[in-house]
Order: sequence, then C-alpha cells, then structure tokens
Amino acid sequence: MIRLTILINFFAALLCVITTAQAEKFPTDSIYRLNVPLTTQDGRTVSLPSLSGHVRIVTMFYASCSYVCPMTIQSLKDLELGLSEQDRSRLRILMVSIDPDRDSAEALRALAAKHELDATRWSLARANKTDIRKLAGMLGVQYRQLENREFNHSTILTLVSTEGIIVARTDSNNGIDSTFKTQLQKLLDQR
Amino acid sequence: MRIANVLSGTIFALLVTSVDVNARPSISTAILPGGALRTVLPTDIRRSDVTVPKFRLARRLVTNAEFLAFVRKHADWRRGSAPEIFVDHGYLQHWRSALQLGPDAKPNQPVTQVSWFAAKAYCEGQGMRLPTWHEWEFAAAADEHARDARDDLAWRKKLLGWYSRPTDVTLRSVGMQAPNVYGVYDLHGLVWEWVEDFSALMVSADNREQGDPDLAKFCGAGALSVNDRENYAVLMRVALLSSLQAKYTTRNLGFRCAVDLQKTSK
Repeated sequence: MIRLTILINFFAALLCVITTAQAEKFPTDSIYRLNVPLTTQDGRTVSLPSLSGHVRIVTMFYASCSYVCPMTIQSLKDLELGLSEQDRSRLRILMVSIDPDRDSAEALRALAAKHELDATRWSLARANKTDIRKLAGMLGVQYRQLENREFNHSTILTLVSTEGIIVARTDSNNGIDSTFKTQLQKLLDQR
Repeated sequence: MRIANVLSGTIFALLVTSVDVNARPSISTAILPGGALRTVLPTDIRRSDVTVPKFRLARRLVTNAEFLAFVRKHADWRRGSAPEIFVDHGYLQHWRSALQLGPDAKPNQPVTQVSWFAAKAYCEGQGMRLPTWHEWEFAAAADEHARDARDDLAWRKKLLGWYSRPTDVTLRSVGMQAPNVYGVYDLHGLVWEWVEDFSALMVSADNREQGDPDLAKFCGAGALSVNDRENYAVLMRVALLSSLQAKYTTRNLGFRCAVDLQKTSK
C-alpha cells in the first residue's frame, strides 16, 4: 500500500514536472500558469493548462447546493442558448467543485446528467483542497465550509480567452451582465 | 545475504537522510495545543466556537533574508519573473533588485509585499503550509501569560495602540517583542499576516448586510455575521484579509508558516 502510494506520488511528481513546462508557455497573466490537476466527471485527470485553446467560462460550485448553484447552471445554459450554433460549439465551460469530500467524479457525472449538460463542452471537475484554494484565489472566488457541510461561496463567472487571459467577470446571481455577453461574443468572433 | 541486507539498509538510510534533509522544516515552530476557540468567525450560525486541531506554528514571521534564500532557489518566484497572475506590480518592490535586499529591506525585517500565492509557495517549499484563519486566531488570542487574553481590556488597548500607529514607519526586526505563552512572536504589533483561507473570510467590513442574509451573493447559506464585536484588533484583520485578492501585495502584509502536527513528529 505504501509502495503504491510512493509510486502514485512519483508519477504525480513526474506529471507535475512535465506540465510545469507546459504552463510556462502561456502569457504571464494567464490562468493556465496555474498548474493543478483536475478530475472531471468522466473520471479523467487533466491539468488546468491542458484545457487551454478554447474560449472558456470558469466558475466554482458544489453539487449538493440546492439554492443558487442550479440557478448558475441555468443562467449558463441560457447564455449558451443565446449563441449561434457555431459559437456554442466553440465555447467551453468549466465548473470546479469546492466540495471534494462529497463531489466524486460519480457525483459530478450524476449532476451533469440531471441537468443534461453536454460533456463535450461542459467539464465538471474536482481537485484537492489546497489546489481549490489556489484556483479560487486566481478567480477571486470566496468560499467557506460550514459545520452543517454547506458552503458559503461567491458565484463569480470568469470569462477567459483561448490563452487563459481573464477578459470579464460577472456574478451569475445578479444575472449575467451585458458587458460579459459582449466580451464573450467578441472572443468567439475572433477566430 | 548479509551484504545485501547491509546494502539495502545503507541505501534505505541514505534515502531517508536525503528525504529528511529536503523535507524537514528548518523553521523553529511551537506546538499549539488546539481545542475549542471562541471565534469572531464561527462556521455554525448557532454556535460561537470552533474546534482547532493541535498544530505547529512558526515562532517567527518569514524574514527578507529567508525569502531571499527562497527566490535564489526558485527563479520563478523572483521579482520580474513571477507570473502576473500570481503577484501584482508591488511584489518585492522595496528590494533593491530581484536578488538584492538593499537599504529598504533589512535581512531580519519581516518580508512584506508578497502575495498569497508567493507566501503559499514559500511554505510549501519548506514542507509546510500557511496557517488557517482559525489557527492564527487561536495563536493570536494569547498574550505573554494567558492562552486567551482577549477579554483583558488593558491588552486590547495595547493592541489597538499598534493599529493606530502610522504604517510608514520602519518595520522592526522579527522576534523583538516578547513571545506569547506558546513561544510565538509578533502575532500583533508588527505586520498583518496572510492565512491559507483568507478567501473564506466573507464578511462585509461592518456587517452592513446583517438582517439581510444576502442569499443572492453567496450560494448555499447566508453570509454569517461576525461575533465578538468589541474585539476590534482581530476584526480589523478580518476586514483587511477579506478585502484582499490572492495576488495583492502591501507594505505591511507578511506571513508565517504552519504545519500539521503529525508531519513534524519524529
């Protein structure tokens, strides 16, 4: 068991070395400079930098949240519906869980199924706790776990370019603002 | 057989030694016993205390000299090299250059103008981490004689005296004030400190949203209000930390490292 752990650590370290080099090719203000592993709803582990290359909206959530998070998903779906089919096919969405204790890949997969999210465009992901804090720090997301296992968290959507430059932010609870939509359209028109 | 045993033993010893040298924090730490803490930021709306696990906390703040040693080893954290997504333009600007302290940054002064990302990277480089807010609050509740001096009005007044001093005076060296009862220095009276979960301190500075649980802003449950309103010195910390972004740097914001207890026990 210990040997297995060592082996896993070794490969994790190796992966880390490989992907550090990968992270360095991005602009210095790119979110893809943060090299953290994410496990998506299909059970695959990918590095954050490997998600570059698409116009992307990033947000943080937790699956068992019953009040605001479904609204966040709905507002993202509405946003997608407002796009042309071609633009929609170019947009990617990344939702990172702040609740790794409960949000296993299976739980994320179940949530994706419940909301009928297209797995080619929507990634629901989990990470370890210290990496989640880093990601939140980069996105300006605040969150805290409460005794009752619920979370307080801010519901910021971050729009990033293919290179990971933060282009716009909006709070999904106040409805996605028009500047955010304009910036999104601009990014999608660029290619 | 015996040779093989000796050989494998030696290799094992070498491995252990090398791991030990690399991973062992060289930082002097104090053991904080943990336990129930009456906190200004409870995690349960019906209670005012949290349980802090036993942990180790660095006795001293990280100094300019120590941070210089870190950036010598880690080129990607030098001023001018650290990615903009992790540090703002003020990062180590008071140093003469990327690898020189100069007259405005004495070796024994606490390092300031470091972002949360940089502070976190430093602690991780020592096999440690940043303390959580509740750990910091636990340690900072103590004065020189008592584990919890927070209701001591004279002590409160002394702390507030520091907060009212101008911030542009030269910082003292670390470890010059009397240590608290656990042997930890400078939790008050020198600089503000980053904590691991600074982005968990979600309060509006003066509880403006009290009475309106602000469900629209925070998912899951309403933002909690802060307790112990008379404890201004600690509330000012919370207000400051909750206003920061992870890449921000300021002239009087430094840090110290912590570590889980089991990681350092021999």
